[in-house]
Amino acid sequence: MGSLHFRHGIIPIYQKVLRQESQDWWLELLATTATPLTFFLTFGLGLKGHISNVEGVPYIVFMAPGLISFTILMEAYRTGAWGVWLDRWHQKMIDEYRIKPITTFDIIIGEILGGFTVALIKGAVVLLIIMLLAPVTLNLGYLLTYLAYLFPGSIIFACFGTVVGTLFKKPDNIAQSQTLIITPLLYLGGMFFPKSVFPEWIQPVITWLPTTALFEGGRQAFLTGAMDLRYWVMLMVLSVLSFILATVVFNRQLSE
Amino acid sequence: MESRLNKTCWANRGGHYVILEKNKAKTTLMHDMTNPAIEVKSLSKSFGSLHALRGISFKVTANGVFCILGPNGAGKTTLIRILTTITRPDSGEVKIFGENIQTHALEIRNRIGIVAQDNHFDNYLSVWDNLMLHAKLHGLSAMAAKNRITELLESVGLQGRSHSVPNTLSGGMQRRVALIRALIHQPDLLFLDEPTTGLDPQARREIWDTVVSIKHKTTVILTTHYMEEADFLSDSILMMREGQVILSGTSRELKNRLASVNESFGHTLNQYEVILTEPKAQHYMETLQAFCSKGAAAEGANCDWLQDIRVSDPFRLSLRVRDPEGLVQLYQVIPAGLIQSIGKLQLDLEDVYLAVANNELSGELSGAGR
Repeated sequence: MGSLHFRHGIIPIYQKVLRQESQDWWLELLATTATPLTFFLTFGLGLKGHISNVEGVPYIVFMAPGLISFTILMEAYRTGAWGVWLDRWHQKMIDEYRIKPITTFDIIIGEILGGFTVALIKGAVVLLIIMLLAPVTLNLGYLLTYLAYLFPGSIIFACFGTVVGTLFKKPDNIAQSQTLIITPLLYLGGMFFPKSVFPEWIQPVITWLPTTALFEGGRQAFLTGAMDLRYWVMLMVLSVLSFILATVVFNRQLSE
Repeated sequence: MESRLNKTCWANRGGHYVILEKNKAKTTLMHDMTNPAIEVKSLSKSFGSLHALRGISFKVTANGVFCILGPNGAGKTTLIRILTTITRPDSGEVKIFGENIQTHALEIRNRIGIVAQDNHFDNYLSVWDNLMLHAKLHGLSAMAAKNRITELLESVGLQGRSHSVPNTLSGGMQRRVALIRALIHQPDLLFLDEPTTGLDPQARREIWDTVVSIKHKTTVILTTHYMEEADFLSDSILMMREGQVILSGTSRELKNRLASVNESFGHTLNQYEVILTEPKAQHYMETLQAFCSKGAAAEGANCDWLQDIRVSDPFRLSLRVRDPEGLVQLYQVIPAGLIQSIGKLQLDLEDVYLAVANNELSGELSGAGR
């Protein structure tokens, strides 16, 4: 694997991601928050009169953590996929990194951490807006537990994005992979409804989706501070496997 | 491992920016001083059925400019990618300053700089941020990087463009940014892969001046398709074709080899150029051909001395002759006042390149003069 280089590897790459994202930050923020806020307005406020309580809380409150998680996951995927795609295929910056005294692990970790930070900032903005629009409160005591779900969850999506950005030369393929894989994962994972409302035959499948672990477990942490270890362990294991997959694919594709 | 002081000073000389390395103090290991900069032994690389490199071997001594020439597909790019640790060889051994590239890749990367064929910049970042990123990846502290970048940008006259995005700069400016990016960590070995392609003469000259100014402290590996560039800059040349080293030596040595091979084959270098004072080269070529025709020969003219004649441009005739003494007959055809000069043409590096590229006399060339 080789040693990791924090000071002259991971941190400069991490800072580069933050600088890239800060170029048109207000536009980025608008684009990123538009979708979850649209969901919030249409489902949360629109269905407010039809759906009263879900699992003991108002539907609008039930939705909030899912939308924040959704924002973070999408952002982690987007940063991973487009960041790597740009560097590998478009700007060819990967060729420049490869002649620096750093390893591919430094590059991937820097990109993932940068993506996670950007995602977290955008998720926080969505949370603030939701708190302004609805009676949603954040218990700071629950925050760490909630982050414990978000961190491995965003690693999984960032790694998947890295694989997509590494493998696919055409940008169309990134959008297609999002439609074919990311979107079903998000909608089936219990962002809008609890797992229990899905038909019984599909529930065994849904249970093993990483998004279910994140949405269900994350919601529980956000609203009550409780941690479902089964979901958390599942996310941790998947994040490690995703990281291994991403580094193997990245290394293999770049080795000549 | 190394202590690198940023004491590089750049000066503007006659409109061209030149780097003056005042104090490139380094703590280098002793073996650096005795080992060649690059040592390649039996290096091979294939991509499927394509044999990009076929067991080549050569050495590059430290400091100076080493030029790698060859037609497209000769294996130059593959060789550069292996030397810069990007591509793994199939077999053979490569050492940079005595270190094996496969076991000491990271250490070697800290001692090399590269200006790639294409400008690779992050166009979401400014010039400054691009340079800062690369400085940090080479381990410079924030303060050292800031000082170094300020110094380098000033030296190439781009201090006012540090906040520009690279793709908004002209081609020449982008090339200068790429060059200072490669020099940011003061490498011992600098790879320049066709650094002046597409540049105007002034921008090209600036790059040349920079190379000349650093070559006494840095080993420069240059690939180019411009023979005058190779001739002007290189201290030593390697010519490749189809993944093999065809010949190597200094520019003068290569030209002498071609000359001696030509002569040994009876291809004497009796090639002359006649420069006229008026643009009538075509007219006098036809006149000379008529003079040498059978009719004219019957009147006493003997054109056995002339092998071939062609028009180089409206003022110049190029003649290949068997006997230079026959040139005096030109005065029977062309009025003396119209002849500005008659001079013998010399072989240049392009002749050597073409001989290699066209697979003419390659075996003889590599053997001759050794």
